[in-house]
Amino acid sequence: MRELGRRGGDGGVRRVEGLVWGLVGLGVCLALWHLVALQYPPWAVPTPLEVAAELVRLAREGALFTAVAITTGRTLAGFGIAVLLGGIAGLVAGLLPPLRQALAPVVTAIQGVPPVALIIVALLWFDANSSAPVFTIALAVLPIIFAAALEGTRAVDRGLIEMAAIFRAPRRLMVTEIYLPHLLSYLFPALVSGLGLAWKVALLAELMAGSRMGMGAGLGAARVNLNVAGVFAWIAVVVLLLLAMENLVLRPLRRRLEPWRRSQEGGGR
Amino acid sequence: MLTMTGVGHDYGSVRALVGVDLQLEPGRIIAIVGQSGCGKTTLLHIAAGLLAPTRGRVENRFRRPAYVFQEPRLLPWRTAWQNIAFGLKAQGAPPATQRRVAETLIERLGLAGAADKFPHELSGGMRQRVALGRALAIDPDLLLLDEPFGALDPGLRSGMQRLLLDLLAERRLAALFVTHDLAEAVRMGDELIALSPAPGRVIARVVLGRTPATDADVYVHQTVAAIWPQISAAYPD
Repeated sequence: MRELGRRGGDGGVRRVEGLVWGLVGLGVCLALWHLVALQYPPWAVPTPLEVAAELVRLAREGALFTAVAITTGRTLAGFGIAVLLGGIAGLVAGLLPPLRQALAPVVTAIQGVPPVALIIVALLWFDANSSAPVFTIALAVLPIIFAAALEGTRAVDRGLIEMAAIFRAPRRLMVTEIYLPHLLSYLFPALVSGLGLAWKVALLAELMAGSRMGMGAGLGAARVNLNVAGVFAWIAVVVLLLLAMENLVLRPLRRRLEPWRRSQEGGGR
Repeated sequence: MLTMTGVGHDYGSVRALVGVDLQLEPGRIIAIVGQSGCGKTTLLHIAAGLLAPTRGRVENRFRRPAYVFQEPRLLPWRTAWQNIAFGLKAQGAPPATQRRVAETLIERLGLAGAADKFPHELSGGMRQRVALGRALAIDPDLLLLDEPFGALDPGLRSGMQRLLLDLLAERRLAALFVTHDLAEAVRMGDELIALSPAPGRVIARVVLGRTPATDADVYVHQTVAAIWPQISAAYPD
């Protein structure tokens, strides 16, 4: 914590500066959108203000929050399964070369299947209103997590492994003291991109499955009603949710799990 | 006691070490000096039991060897005291014992206030002291040191050498100290063994007469000057 305080001043200024420029970029985009929207009738291209009004209406009706809760639940369930299975499989495959060679083509094959095709298979096998989206998300995200866990395991510092062997550390301790902490830092970028993919696949699955509930269902209903502002509103919700997840859940989680990085972050590493 | 008789080692068809005899008694320090690639690390690995020699015989009566590497090799995600306790944790010592032993060593190694810092927050010298603490924490009877101060600034080195000599004396530890620096070998060892360039064979063996009363610097200079011709003959460059 002391370190954080010492470098806080410098890092703080840079962070504020970044925030300001970020807001400038966002503001310019919104302004351009508004200008373009004014050239077209509102039912074709809504202005940002109309989308905001639609968001407020959806929130008032209460449909927004149930939909968000349901889709979030499905996304996190599928994502969780992918992280658990992909992480463990990647770790084990990284430790055992024959298994790595056996699994690599399988995972590449799964990765090659487009999510849309996964959804169709899932619809044939599972319940469109619950397990189908979860299955699709899990299968779509799994290869990303697997690949990162595998590479992370292989990239472990040999010197540390040799050190642990010399101190006669049992295999269990090697995993908890060396492989897992190392993996965690390696896995984090994959978690972020995996979560983004999970969200997109969730919407796609709900939309294609014709789920009765969820944000995909809301998006589908808005399309059927030719409510363009509604479509935009649902898209905005997805983007906001993704940003919230990354910045309010994943990043704080990382700070908590990796206190040893805390004082490096401000240092521009 | 560690006894090596005619020890040699090959990596495949490459000879790394040839006919090394060595006898290390409890509480004594043997400094092994030679240039990089002369088989010093191989010799240490054989002494640690990590490597079975291709030829010769090794008899090791020491029960707990501990190792210090040239790089600190600390876990970046563990604090200084947790790194010191690593060997104890590997042996399954209870957390209270780990903490207590680590705290005593932190005090002794002059790391007060650094116990809860992570390795990247420490200076190079402090990191190497943590690595030394990790080796001492398992209460070894033999310390194997592979150029432990090789990566440190010259200014830090003499302090670390002094600290290590004191610690070895306090705990009556035997040590094999590998270095490429002849002056350091003379300063640290009770006995000095010089190895030739690869494949490493013994080219000089000197029993050093350092006592607490001798002026360390003068002694080191005179001894280095006396041994130098013998060793430099083996190294054409």
